[in-house]
Amino acid sequence: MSEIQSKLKDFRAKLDLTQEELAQKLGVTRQTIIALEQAKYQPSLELAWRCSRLFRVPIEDVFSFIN
Amino acid sequence: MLKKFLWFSRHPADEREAVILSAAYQRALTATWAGLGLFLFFVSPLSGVMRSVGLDHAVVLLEAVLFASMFAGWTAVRREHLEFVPVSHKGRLAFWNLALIWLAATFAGMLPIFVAPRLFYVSIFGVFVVYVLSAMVWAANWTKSYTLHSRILATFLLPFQTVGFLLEPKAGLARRMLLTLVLTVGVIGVPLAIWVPFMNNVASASGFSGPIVPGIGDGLGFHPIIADYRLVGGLQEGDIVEFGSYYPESNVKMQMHDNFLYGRVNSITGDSVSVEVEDAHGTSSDGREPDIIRIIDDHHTQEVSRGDIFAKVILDAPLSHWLYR
Repeated sequence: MSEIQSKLKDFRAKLDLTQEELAQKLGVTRQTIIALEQAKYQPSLELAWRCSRLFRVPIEDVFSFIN
Repeated sequence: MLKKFLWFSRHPADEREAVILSAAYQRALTATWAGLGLFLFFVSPLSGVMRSVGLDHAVVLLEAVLFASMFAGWTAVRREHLEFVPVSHKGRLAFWNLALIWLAATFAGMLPIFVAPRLFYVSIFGVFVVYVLSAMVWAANWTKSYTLHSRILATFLLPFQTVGFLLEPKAGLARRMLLTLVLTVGVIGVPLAIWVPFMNNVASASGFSGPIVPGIGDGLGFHPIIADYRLVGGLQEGDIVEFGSYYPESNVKMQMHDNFLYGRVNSITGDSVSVEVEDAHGTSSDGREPDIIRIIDDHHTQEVSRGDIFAKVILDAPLSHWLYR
């Protein structure tokens, strides 16, 4: 069983953004942010890149692959 | 949860919804193929079953397959959070504009009752066309944010239901269903409610589809006419009229009551009118169960008083044969 875990919530807190604000910045819905933070959705590579650019950190700092 | 049953009408709001809807479409396609396969198994000579299915049943079966596909897709989205699909109207004012058009069309459609009864069927048809076309325009405008296939379905197949369903898009499903029902029934009910009180002026089709007396009838089941009860211009020789009188029993060897007769005025002498009877509708009571019957082509002349004449009959009203064929 493998899954992608994210530290999206931590990074969002650092930038003091609400889920809605983060969703707008990333061009997704708030429900997608919720799903990402709860590891219920695996983001596309494009969305992962957008997250890493927004937080100015490497992708693997935001998302980690657990096998 | 059930509101996601119309999942196929959504554009995905983002990549997560695209993934969810993609799964829904996959399941729907699987159900469609399975349903069509099952259907073909029963009708195809290749399977050896080869049951013949009438067109009506085939349509119902195909609709069942479509419904099963919608259900299969729904199982993929029912537990997912999907964004609310905005309806492109700004509240109830948009509906009242439509209602105003419908009301204006209804009253405009009533005018022929008073000025040109001969056009009664044309006006009914015209009003109905205005209802449908305006509902289509409204439905098409309100579903701009929906997928093209569901928009086409909503506009051309279910315009009234679409307007009703989208009137309060954030309301609960039960309320939206109720609004749909009210609007759909209202579209039929409002013209009826307005027309019926005026129907004493103009009777619509006098339709009798009961058994025709053997040997006399010509097989016609329906007689589309307009009867102008106002008797505008008074009676003239040659007028086709509707009147009530007792049908001479000897002619048909049965007793009729509650009958209406149709005939052509031969001559008018004071209060007495001589009418060549061409057609009679009524209820027979010849020992069996009372039954509405129609007797035609049994010509005889009858003397009646002016008071017995109900209406002048218009037989060739435009659209009547088409609407009531």
